[in-house]
Amino acid sequence: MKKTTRIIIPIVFIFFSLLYIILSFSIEQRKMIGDEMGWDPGSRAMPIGIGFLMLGVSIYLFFKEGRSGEEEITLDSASKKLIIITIMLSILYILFFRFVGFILSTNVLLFTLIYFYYKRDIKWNMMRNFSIGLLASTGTMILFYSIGRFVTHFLFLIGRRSNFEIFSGRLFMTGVTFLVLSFIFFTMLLLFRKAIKNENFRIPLLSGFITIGVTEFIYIIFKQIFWVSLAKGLIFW
Amino acid sequence: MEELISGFLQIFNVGTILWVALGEVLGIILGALPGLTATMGIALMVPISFQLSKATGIALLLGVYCGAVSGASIPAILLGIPGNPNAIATVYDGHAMTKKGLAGQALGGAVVASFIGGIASLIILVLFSPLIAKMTLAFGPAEKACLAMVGLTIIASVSTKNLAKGILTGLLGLSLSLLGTDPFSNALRIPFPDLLAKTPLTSGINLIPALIGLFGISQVLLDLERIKQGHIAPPQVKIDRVFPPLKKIARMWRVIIESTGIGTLIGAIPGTGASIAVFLSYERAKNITSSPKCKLEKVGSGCLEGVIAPEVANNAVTGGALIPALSLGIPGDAATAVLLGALLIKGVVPGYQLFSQEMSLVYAIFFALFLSNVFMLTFQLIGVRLFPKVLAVPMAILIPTILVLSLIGSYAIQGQAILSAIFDMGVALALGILGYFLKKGGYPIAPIVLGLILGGMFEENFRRAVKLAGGNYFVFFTKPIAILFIALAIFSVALPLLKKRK
Repeated sequence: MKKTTRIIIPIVFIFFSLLYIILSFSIEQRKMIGDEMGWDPGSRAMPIGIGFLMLGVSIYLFFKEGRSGEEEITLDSASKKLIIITIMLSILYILFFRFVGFILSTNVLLFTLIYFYYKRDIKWNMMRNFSIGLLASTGTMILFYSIGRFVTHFLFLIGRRSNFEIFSGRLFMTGVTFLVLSFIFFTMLLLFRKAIKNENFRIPLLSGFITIGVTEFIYIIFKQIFWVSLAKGLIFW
Repeated sequence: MEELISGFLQIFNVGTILWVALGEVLGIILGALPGLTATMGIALMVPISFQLSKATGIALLLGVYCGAVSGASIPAILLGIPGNPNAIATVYDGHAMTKKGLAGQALGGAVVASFIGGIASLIILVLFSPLIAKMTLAFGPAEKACLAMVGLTIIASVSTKNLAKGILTGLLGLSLSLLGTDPFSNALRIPFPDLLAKTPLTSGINLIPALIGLFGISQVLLDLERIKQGHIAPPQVKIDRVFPPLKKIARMWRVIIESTGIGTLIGAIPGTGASIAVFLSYERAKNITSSPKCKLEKVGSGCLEGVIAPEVANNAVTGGALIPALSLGIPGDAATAVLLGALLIKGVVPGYQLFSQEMSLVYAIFFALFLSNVFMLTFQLIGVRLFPKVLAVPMAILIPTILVLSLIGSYAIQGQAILSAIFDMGVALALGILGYFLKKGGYPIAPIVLGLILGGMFEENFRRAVKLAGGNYFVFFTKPIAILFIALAIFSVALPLLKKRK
């Protein structure tokens, strides 16, 4: 790590500590409920104490790191680009998760990362193939999701309207949906196996297949087994 | 007896057995992949364990823990690359055995050693943790506050070469743990309360997203730096006889006993971790085998003895690290810190209360650890030719998958309240980025987690002690146990400094 980067961390800590101390002083000083005598140090004592300790250690480290002569390790530009795009996309993923929904946002995040990680760099001339791959992956993902929803709904309705209540059982519905989608997934993989071996299509196809598989798997685990309310967003059905 | 049976039934049912098996396989795969640690594996599985019952959830995490610890020996033996720092000592003799064409025996020996270490430390855990927990009955608020301080200082001092960096990250964890609402007075302790009073920040920082961010996302970003490697070429080694000769293992009884002792003891000392234990046991085995009277092969020459010693110690740490975690609420290493976090989220309070009120859960934890070790032995022996193939999985697939799992895992904890869940994803990402830069700067991450876990315990007991003493801040120097803990804390800080001077 560069010397300048090493010093930046203690500087950031110094600013964080100062901000922490200032904000701690603005905390309303309330005593413990039932402390008639006022012996409790109060609600802001601990934050202030820790803030000052943190400031002291940060200042010490600032001077110590400044004197240190450790060797410099730098990152190559491709790795830097990949780290930056990962962080940026993750931030966008969180910001738009609610509006775009789990399926679409996860599809975009996963496809983009897998595609560029396979390429091990980001260049403008990659964008055409990337865009086509992303569109194809998104379309297929929506199709997969819709088939999954249809199977689940179909089983649920049969279970409700007939005497076979087992059909509307959570694990049964999930299991059947998983099996149907797995069958379609592996059939498609078989159909495209020659294209995957072709150098020109290999990375977009692999990225697409992995994206669809992982997204659908996470959806089934969290949404269908554990009933986590994954945001629907644009795919409202 | 009723509690024993209840604990047994909580683990030995089809559902839980399947979850433990799944955890074990995932753990072995994660442990076998260089760069992915046991701590990261547990952190990633916490959101799933959160959806399960207490015993099943903890059993799943223990499965991942045992699997990951033992799985790290696979690349260490076959490729000479340890899956994580705990397997560094296994590289020396393990990889030398592979070069001699004895890869199967080295892998099998490592698995048997891991099983012996795991089970022996489990027995010690069963015997000692209730006793230590009983001792905590003598602890008042002053002693408990000092105990939390000991946990923090020890982990800060041993987790990095630079003590100040360890202390700083520990303080950062403490400062973050205080965010939210004051538990005693309900005063809001958040920045800009007028603006943020109605945001999820008022509940403070949720432990699971913090764990996932610090151990999962930060590791993802670090691993990105070596994405150019693509993937590690799967080893082209013929694996023949897997199960090591039992007679040979029996002859190593002294190495095994001493390695178990070292592993369990080191594991039980908060903050030390398996990487110290494996080197100590390897050196000890070297001393034993270099004696002229000893009939064993000399450790260091590429022999089974050099694999058995560190692997026994490595897995003995798992039981050892759970002793302070369950009885005192102070984790033995980073992985048990995450396990402890998962327990706390489930509403389980370690210490005497756990052993007196929820003994069936304690038994369930013991049974789960036993089952995890049995599965580890079984799966590793069956899959000894299969698991090395995971090394061929490209990083380009692994890294994004772990990233998405980390984000969705953080979301899932409060999945029914979308805004809070999205806030948790943000916390995980922010702490992940912070953890990445801190790791790059040589700052340890484990003290942040300890600070987050112990911050509440420290503040609560500190304030209670001062209040009960009539506002006397010197109350901590009037109680013998508290003085002992303060001395321990000072000793743990002073020792690295004294060593440096020498």
